[in-house]
Amino acid sequence: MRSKQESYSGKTKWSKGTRVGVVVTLVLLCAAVAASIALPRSSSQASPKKYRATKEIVLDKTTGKVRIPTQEETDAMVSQISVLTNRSSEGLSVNQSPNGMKSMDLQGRFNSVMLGRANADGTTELRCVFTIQEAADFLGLEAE
Amino acid sequence: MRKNILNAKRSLVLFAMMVVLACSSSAFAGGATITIINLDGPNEGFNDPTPAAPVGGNPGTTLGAQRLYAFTFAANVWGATLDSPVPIVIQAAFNPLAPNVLGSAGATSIFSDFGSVGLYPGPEFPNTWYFSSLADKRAGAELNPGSADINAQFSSNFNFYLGVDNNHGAQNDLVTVLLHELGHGLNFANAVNELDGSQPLGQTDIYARHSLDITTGLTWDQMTQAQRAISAKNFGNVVWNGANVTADAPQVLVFGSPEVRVLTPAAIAGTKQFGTAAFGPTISSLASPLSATIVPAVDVDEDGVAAAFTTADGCSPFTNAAAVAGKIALVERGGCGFAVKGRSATNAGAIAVIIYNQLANANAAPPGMAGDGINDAFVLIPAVSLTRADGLAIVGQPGATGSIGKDPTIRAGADTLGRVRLYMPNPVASGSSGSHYDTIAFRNLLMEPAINPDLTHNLKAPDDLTLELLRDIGWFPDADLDGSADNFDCEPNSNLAPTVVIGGCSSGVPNTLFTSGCTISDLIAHIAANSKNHGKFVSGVAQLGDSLVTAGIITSAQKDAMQSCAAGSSIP
Repeated sequence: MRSKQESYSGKTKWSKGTRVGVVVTLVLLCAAVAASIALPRSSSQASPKKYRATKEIVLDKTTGKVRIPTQEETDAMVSQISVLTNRSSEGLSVNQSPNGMKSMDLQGRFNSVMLGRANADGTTELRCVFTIQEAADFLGLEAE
Repeated sequence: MRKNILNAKRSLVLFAMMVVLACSSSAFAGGATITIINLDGPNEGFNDPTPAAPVGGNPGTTLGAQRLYAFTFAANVWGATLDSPVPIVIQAAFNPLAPNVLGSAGATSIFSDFGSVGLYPGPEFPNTWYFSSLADKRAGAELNPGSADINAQFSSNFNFYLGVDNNHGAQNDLVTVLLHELGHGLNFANAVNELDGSQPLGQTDIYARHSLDITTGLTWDQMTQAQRAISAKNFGNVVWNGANVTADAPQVLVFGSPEVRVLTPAAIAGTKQFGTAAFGPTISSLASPLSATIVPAVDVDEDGVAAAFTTADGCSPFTNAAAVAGKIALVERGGCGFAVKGRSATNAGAIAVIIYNQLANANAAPPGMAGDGINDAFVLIPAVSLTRADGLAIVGQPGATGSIGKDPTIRAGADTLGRVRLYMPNPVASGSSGSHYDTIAFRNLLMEPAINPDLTHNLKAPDDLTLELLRDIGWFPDADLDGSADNFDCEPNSNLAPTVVIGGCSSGVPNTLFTSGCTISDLIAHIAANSKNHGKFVSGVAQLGDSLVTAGIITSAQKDAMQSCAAGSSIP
């Protein structure tokens, strides 16, 4: 047994009932949360850089064969990846609370992105990236 | 058209066309509650009604139901692995993402210098960013009420394996991908822009604090922005310095680190960043390292074009085969396929071949070298690739020696001191943002950049080292969710009753929690466990009551109530 001379500045633990209440509250809260949230998907922060595809990485559902992405497909993937992996905090605001806490809403930036590269044998190689440069390296995209 | 679809989808969300799914693991006995907010509208994503046959333990009968089941399964794996008193909220959707984009995840917000409640420790360091879910856990409270902790979206166009049994065959396992991406959202990632070394607000993060550059001896929080940018390319020399990862690495990583080294002269000696080939024997298959002089190959210039003149590309039979025989051949990339070069080196009698980048790829990482289906079978020696800088350095040192093989004294994926390497190739390569383990780790790890087919759904040793890293950044174990880490907790599985009950007798005394992590009930249980007879037990409870009265925790009347219950019990 530990010493009874411990510090007694404790608190009462949450009871099970209290915790259940927390979760119920949370679930109700979620409805409100969802109403104000949309996942980041497009492109006001898209990379200004233009890329050109050089490798056969797309599985063509019509032919069943791998092919080089069209420029339109390339632009779409570059745009989406650039937004999600944007690692600049420029334009992001920092909130500072009276107690000193700082917080920053990342606005959908700083994501990791899972990419797939179709192989001729029908398999897909996966790679997780954090920047458009990494994505370009994996997908064989060359900056123009 | 697409924009309209997205707007319509958001409208549906606004009108509450979403389902809130609380997927609770063992939330009330430790663990973490993970709540998934389904942002998909009717007939899409999680709600796709396309019929599907149950697969691999996934009982869903529609595509949407199967996605949801797999997502919930992965969330529950995390929920059962981590402990947090604050639910982790993930907002998720399946969307028709761009080609080759299979999914994404990330923290919604980051926090520093936050307070905490009760025994919760708050941040370990000041001026240090924490991702939302970890900040909540360490605060013991929701820091950003009404907001999710993690964004996650995955491709509705990609044919993931939706079973939960990991029996995915040649398909890609959605559960594994989810475990990986959610891991990043839980702070298995830094907040550094590795292209320039910058940090949000110029402030470090908890992950960066554990990223140690063994060349400089500095962790990333101790570096200037410029130093971080350099360190981000210091291949093989940035390791994770957390105690939990290092302690468990021997259970996971095997001895035999694949290495390409220049042995002499000292001016260029060292371990080199290398790429592997899809043809020829692998480094891992070598019984022992191959060591020899490295000899630049010479062949004829095939195309006769002056501007493209090269006799170093190995695209035709070597004219210095006698010098290369029994040695490691060195050839330049370009002019023909990799396997052609490997075949030329084999025919010349080389014991291995190194292919270094040509001028057109002067700043590229050593490539992974694909075969051509024609020459592959004729390559009977190991082939590796190097950067152009490393290749030219060897060319400039005639008589240089090197070795290719496994170092039996180093674990695959660790440094000489057993610290696990982070992936920092030079130049930037896919998955190189320091927020992954090195690709040479073996066994393969969940948080390498590639999702290897042999991964399990287990997040900790002996199968993996993901949980260990999260422990190092502050996801401490806390089975009873009292805010006191289990390894320091007086009672890791505290009695959580609101009042003190002794032998079925309710004393009515509030069950106070002390900074040690014990409640009054815990202390009484400990007395019971250490009492040889009932008299000793009653005496022990009396002494405890006296101490609590003296400390002002309970009143004399409350002490008497406890005493009465103890006396009336049949303990022990």
